[in-house]
Amino acid sequence: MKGAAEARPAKAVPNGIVGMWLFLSSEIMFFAALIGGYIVLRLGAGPGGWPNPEAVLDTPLLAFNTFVLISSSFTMALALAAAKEGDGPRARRFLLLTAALGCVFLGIKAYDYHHLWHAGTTIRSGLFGNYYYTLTGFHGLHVAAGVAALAALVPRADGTEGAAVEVEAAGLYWHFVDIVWIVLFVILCLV
Amino acid sequence: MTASRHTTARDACVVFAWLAALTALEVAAVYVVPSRLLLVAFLLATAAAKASLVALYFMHLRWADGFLRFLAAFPFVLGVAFVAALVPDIVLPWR
Repeated sequence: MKGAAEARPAKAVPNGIVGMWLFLSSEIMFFAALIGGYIVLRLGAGPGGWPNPEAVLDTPLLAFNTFVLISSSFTMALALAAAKEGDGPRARRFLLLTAALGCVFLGIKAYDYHHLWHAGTTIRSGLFGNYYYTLTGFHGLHVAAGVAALAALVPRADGTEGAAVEVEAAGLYWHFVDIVWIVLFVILCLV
Repeated sequence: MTASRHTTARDACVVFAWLAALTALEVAAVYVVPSRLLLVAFLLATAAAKASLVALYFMHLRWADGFLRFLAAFPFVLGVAFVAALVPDIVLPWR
């Protein structure tokens, strides 16, 4: 008679992937707290108590920035597909492209801050400005950390299985940052 | 690996096309939809659809095992519950 331990085969989930998901779990709670606070203040402000985002923000520019970040998720997925196939050079090219798109996103964000600040919306000008800079600032820091991680990963993506796990873990983080922006773009810039 | 199947380059192209199309629809809706309530509902639905596409296909949750799905879903449910718990602060007149 076989023991219970032999009856169920173990599934090989790499520690790095489990660790990244645990980290992302804490990140979900972090952004849930920030977004929850924003929603309470936004709805509690009542009619006329909150500026119209269209009047304050450059919506087409931020929509383009959303497209940039979505494109970076796409290239990240292609990097992982290449890494899984053992194609190190192609994986490195897509990782570099992803990092470059992350830099474009940050550059547009810096321009957006510059434009907003000179139009009078500062972090001290009211609740909208305070929350806009806080939410997008923390998100921007996450993007910057992701760009640094991708840059560090490029020389390591050599087409081996271990490298593929590292690319997958970095990809999970990058896609999470993309999801956060998808939510922020709607609640901050469109609603 | 984390799942028996992963997103192929072809899958990624299809998901990317959907994400780009949904983003274009969101921006167009701001200028087209006259009802504020309808607009908010539409934008939240499209944002949820986009986030789901990224999570399911780019983060491979569609093919992940139960443990990883739990790791992703549990804090998400907690986060939604957290926001829901704040709703009385918005709708009740005790402020």
